[in-house]
Amino acid sequence: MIENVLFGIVGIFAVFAAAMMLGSKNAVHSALWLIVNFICVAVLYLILEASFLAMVQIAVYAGAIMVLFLFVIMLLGAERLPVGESVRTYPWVGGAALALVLSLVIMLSLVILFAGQAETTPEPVNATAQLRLLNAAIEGTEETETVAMEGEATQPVVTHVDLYVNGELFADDIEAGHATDFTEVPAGDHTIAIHAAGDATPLLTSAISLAPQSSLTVIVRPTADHALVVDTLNDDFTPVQRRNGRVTVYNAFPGVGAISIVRVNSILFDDSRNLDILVSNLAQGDSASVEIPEGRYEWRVIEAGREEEYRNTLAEDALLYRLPDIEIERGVSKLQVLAAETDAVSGQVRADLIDGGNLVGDAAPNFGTPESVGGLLFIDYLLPLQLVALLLLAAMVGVIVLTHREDSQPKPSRATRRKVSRPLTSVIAAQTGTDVSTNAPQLPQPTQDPVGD
Amino acid sequence: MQNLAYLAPLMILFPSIGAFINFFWGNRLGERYSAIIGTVAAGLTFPVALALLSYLNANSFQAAVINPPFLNSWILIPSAGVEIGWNQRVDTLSVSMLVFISFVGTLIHLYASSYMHGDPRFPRFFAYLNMFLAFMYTLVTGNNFLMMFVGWEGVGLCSYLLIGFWWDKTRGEGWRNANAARKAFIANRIGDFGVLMAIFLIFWTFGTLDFYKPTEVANVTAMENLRSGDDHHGEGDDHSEEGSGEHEGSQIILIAEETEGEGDGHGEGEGEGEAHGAEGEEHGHAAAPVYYDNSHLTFSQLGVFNQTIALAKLKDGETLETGVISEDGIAETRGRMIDFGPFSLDIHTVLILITLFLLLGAAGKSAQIPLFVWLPDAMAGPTPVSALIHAATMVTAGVYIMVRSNVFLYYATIDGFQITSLIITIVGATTAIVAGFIAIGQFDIKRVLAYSTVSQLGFMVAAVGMGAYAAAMFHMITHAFFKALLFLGSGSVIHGVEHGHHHGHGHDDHGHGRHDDHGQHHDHAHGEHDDHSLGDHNPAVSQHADAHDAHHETPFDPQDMRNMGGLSQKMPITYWTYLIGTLALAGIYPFAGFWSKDEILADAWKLFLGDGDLRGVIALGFLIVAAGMTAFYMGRQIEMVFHGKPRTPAAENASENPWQITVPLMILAFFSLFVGFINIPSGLANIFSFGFYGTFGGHALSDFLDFSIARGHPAPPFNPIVALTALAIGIGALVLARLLYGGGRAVNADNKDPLEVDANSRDIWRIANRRMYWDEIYNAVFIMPYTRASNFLANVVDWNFFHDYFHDTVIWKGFNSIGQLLSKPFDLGIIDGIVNGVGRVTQWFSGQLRRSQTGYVRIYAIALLVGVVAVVLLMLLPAIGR
Amino acid sequence: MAIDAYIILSAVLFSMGVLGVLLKRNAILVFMSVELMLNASNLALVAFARQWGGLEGHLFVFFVITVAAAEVAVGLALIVAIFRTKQSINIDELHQMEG
Repeated sequence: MIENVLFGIVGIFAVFAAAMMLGSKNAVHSALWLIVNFICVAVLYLILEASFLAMVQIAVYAGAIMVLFLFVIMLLGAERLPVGESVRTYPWVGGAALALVLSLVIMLSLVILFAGQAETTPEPVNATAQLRLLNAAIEGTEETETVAMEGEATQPVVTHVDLYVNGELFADDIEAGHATDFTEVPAGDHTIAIHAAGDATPLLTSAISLAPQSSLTVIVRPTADHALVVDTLNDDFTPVQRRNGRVTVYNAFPGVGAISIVRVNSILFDDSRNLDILVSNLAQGDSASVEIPEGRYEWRVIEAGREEEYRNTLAEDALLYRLPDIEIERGVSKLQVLAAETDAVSGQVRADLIDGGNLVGDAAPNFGTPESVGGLLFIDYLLPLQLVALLLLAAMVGVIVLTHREDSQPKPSRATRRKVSRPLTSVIAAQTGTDVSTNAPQLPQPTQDPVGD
Repeated sequence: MQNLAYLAPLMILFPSIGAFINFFWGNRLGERYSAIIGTVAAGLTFPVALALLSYLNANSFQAAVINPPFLNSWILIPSAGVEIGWNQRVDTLSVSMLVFISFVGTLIHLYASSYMHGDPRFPRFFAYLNMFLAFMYTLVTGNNFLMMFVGWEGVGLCSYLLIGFWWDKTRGEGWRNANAARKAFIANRIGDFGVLMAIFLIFWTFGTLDFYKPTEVANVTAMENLRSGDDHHGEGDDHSEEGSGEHEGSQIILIAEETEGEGDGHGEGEGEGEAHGAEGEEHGHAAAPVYYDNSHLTFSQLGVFNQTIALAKLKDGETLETGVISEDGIAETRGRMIDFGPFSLDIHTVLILITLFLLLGAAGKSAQIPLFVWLPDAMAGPTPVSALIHAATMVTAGVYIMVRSNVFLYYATIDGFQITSLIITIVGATTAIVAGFIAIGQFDIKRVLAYSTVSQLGFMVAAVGMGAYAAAMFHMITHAFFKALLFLGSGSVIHGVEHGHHHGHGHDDHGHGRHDDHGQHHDHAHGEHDDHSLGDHNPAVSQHADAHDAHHETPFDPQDMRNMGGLSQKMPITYWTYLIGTLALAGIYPFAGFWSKDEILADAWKLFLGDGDLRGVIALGFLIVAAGMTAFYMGRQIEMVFHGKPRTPAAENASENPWQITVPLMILAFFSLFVGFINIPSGLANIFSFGFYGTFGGHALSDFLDFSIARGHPAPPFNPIVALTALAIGIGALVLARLLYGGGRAVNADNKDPLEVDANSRDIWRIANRRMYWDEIYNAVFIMPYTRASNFLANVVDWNFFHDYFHDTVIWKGFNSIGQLLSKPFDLGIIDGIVNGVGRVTQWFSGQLRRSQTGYVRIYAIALLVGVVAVVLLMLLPAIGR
Repeated sequence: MAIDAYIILSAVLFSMGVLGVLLKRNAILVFMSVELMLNASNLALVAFARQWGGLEGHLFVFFVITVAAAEVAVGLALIVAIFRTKQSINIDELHQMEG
């Protein structure tokens, strides 16, 4: 809101400055009003998060270029044009220009109007939503492995699943620990069914409701007794606070119950000062979303309810698992699923994080900074930059050539020659009676060609 | 040394290299080295010719066809089935030509190196001579008619170039020389037309131009194998498989019979060629083993001559398989009829056409009636040229081509009557007597010899007509020697007289025999001028001047016999050699001419009395008279030139020539004396031949040539009646000449011939002197109408009609008026109007547009803004619509 | 809701800049108006960036500021050069490009 107010004030002032520039009789005044206009534009750049360009605008435009203008004006003494020296040759130019400019503005406004109209068109009823499947079954288990059920026959462990939406195959043969990409599906109510890979009979069915423009992740997780459960999670795309990243943690680890997660800020000093409790008391099938500053962290899984104790005493019995380092990026939403993994060597099940992928927010946190622009400029657009530099060099040479004043000393040879030739013609004139230097003999004129030239 | 035949390409190569060098570096080499190169290039061919002769001798005189390296196929058109190879034929006929050509040619080169001394174009002369030899060898050794034609045209070209060699002489002589060259060239073109037509007909008829295909003659290597092996009876591997059924087991026919001492046997043979074992005819005449057999060859694999024989043997309606299978799988057959599109002719008729066309060509090249007129004029060329080209070699090419085509002549018959042979006999005999008659009336020393040459060529042609090809060739060889001797002798005389002329006109203080002197005057020294070269030069006026005007007022003519006399003391070597040549030409025993002329006359006698043939009668009658005339004009020439007293200071001061001139004379004189012994008729006692009979045997040359002449006439034995008659006539004519011209009566006070003075003989002599009006007749019959027609075409048709009327009136004016029409209304009006209209519209429009460019920034900015608003509006429109 | 206000403010400022460009005669003032327009568009960009959460809008604004600096430097140099030759910076006097 403050931005809009600021834009209004600065915009009006910019227009005013431009009008004053055009209206001033004195060229110096015009230049000064132009500087004001440039500064206003620089402020607008700042509002538009173009801090680097605002800086350049002030330094190059308002500074260097306008100094050049002022310098030339003062050099030539051209503050004011002499009045009445030139008659306006085309009186209709003013009107025509005004009309054209007005029509241009009107048309541009029309364009914007039409564009806005298109933007505000109501969403169609069958607007789309996004859907994906994340298989959080126990990783590393052989497909043919079986587990013994209490009092029952053995049953194969399902690690690869298919997802059917409304009876149609949506995702085929997704391995444990993997996720599909988001896929567009119509918004509305759907029935989803999870099948063991290649199996025709559904293991689980569920009904979901998709709001338009929403994103939904279907998570398949195992229960403590090795059955599978389907769960859904709405992804959060809302912008993150500046310099922070957002992590959504979902607990899909079977058999432990509620957990807490602490973050280790520094690996050098492993003590309570460096420990932050991220999530506490997260039951299986629950999720929690936190915003943390960007950086690289080590996460630890702590027994629920003992996180304070662990932070203070670093009690080893409270520590359940150490998790791999994760990278938190600025302005990025992340889904991390805590899942089980069977160790290939020991055969024991331990915790692991499944990366659900980055969910980029609507603005990069370092947008418009000199750093980002410079990176782009010197890495991706180095060649155009060099060309522009070459253009500046050419302009420099051109300026020198244009303003170089030639040495216009009169050459003496011309007068000397004239001195010699003069008497000769006069001698001829005296002898012939006609001045050959003035009365050149006339050749007979060719007759007029009737055809023309 | 068995494969000496492969040297044949060198015959052409050596003179070509010589000509090449002299053409391009002759002037740099200088006269001396140019002469050496030219002479050596010619001289090297003589050993090669001897090597080829030894090859034939070693290979039982069997022909070989040589394919020069790098020349696999000369003209090859596979799609048309035409393949004409550049093959050289080494057989007895070509080698006998090559030997005497290379020998005489070398001597003449040597002679020319002195004779042409000081000429500004000396190297070019030798280049031409070498080039001539190369073409002559090409003509002689070519294995097909086309190759022969290349040589034929080449020697014609060289003849033209050399007759007109002195085209730049002063006082109109150069002009006459050039005209003489042109005359020779044009007359030869008429003959060439005949040869070309004959070649076309031959190609159409037989599909090939090869005399004999290379497969028809023995493979050289195979023959060597045969000879080295013991088995001579033809069980050679390479032949036995291919034989036809008729001759199985004996593909290589061995016909070996004794040739010597079987005089009777020669007269009985039918003259069937020995090279035709395929026909299985074995004659007593066949003289040598034939190592090849063509019975396995199909018709299409045969050369033109064997194809001719095969076709001519067919009866009416009979056909033979050609061996060519067409695409439809049908074997092609040939009958006697030759298809010419709309009509077809019998093979004999075609052969008559071919031989008549060949006769036309031979008449051109060998100077027979009616084309002989160019040869006397050709004496305008330098004397070595006259000797080499226009007496010894090139002019015999016509005889050679007919000898080569003896198979054609044999089968060119109408109902068995050899019509072409009769015509040839008539032409030859007539030419012999006419030319001999004209020669009596001439004063020019070379012109007499020129008509003598024409006359002797007539002898040869007549012999060809009688089927006595070997006799013709024999006379050709002997004639080459003694006529070359006579020409070179006349050149020597001219040289000497000329030198004497200059000596008597301002070089008295110089010693005799300084040959450096005349070299400086060579530019106009050899005044071998021709005063009646073409029709537009009035012969009557010229004759008048020659006869009546004092020779001091006219340019001195060193060729005129009236300016000579008594040279026997001044030039003894020349005299004696010239005398030998004269006796040889006159047919006096035992000189060469006696034997060869007697051979021809004996043939005529045999044909007349033995067979009752018409040709024999004509030939015998005409040729005996011609022989008498020959002896008479030669005797007259001797008397006028060498005997009596010198009639001019030039003759008074004449002197003998250097060794380069006299040595060839002596060599040629030696051969003129003895070359006749190579073909002494059989049946002559050995004593009359100074033992040569024992050396060479009877009719050695005839037997030699019979290997190449498939349908020859068997040489007759010695005929004492004819021989004695001819000898008596010759001696009588010489005596008559001695009586008429001897003792200083050669020319009377008015420079007139005694016969002209005598009222009884005046008219006849006039006719001879005026050359029987041949030039006048030609002038009236051919040249004047031709000139008038040309004038009409040029002045009336071309100039008046085409230029004045058609070009100026029709084309020019029509084009002009059309152009006017197109330019004024159309081009200026419509075309330019459209273009200018486009321009004007563009101009107006851009003028309007330029106003939008105001130059004011704000206007542009407004325009930009309008665009922005428009774009936004456009983007908004869909939203409004919704 | 907030973004609409920013966009409208941006549009108003932009239009005022446009008016300044179109109507002012002083070249320096025209340039200043251009700067105003750039600022208005920058504001819109930043607002959009805030709306969509992306930083690319900020980058664009940064580049625009840089380019604007270059443009101002060159433009003022041009004005100085023009003033030297014409002794005036009234853009109505600069219409030499008139067609």
